[in-house]
Amino acid sequence: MDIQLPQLLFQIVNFSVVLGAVVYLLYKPLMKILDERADRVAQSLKEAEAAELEKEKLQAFKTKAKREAEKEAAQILEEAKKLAAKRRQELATETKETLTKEMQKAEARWQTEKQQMTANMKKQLVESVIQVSGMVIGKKLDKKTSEKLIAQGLEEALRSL
Amino acid sequence: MLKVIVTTATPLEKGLTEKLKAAMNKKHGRELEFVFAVEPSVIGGIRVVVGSKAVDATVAGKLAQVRKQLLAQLEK
Repeated sequence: MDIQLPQLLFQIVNFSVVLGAVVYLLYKPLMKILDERADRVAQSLKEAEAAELEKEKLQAFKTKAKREAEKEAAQILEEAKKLAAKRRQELATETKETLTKEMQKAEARWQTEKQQMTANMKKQLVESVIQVSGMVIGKKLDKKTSEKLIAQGLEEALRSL
Repeated sequence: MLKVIVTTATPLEKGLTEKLKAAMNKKHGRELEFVFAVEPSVIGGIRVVVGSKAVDATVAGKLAQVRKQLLAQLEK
């Protein structure tokens, strides 16, 4: 094989020119583009990390708020239960007192009515006894007794009138 | 003239009425006017009213007194 030096030199120079042109025209812009892309990717990663951190913070805040709200709700419920129990007790006491008072009033009313009824019955008994006595005396009164009564009455009348 | 009202359950015998008239006239020293009434409701005995005074010796009057006393006892 014959190596021809001028051709070789020409090829080398040619190649160098082409290589230089490629480096200048393609390689540097390409590297610039790649660098820019790498920067953008790094930025995105940073932003993603920040977003993730923010998300965790928000989650922690939500959890804390939820816990506090549950605690407060439990306290409110507990207080409401205590109040309801207290009110139930008060109502029961009031009802008992009212019932006792009503029963006492009813008892007093009954006693008064009973006394009234007894008094009325006794009065009626007296009236009946007097009436029956009058009827019996009227039937049983004989002439002799009648004359005796009249004589006694006359004596008293003459004494007093 | 002073009036004397005599009430009985049955009519008084004449002898008794005359006795009564004489005794009353003597007691009052003058002639009195006599009215003899018959009321079966007095049951027995006699009631004599002279002017504003009265003596009730009837059975009905006695029963009325008993009634009054019994009712007064009940009030206590």
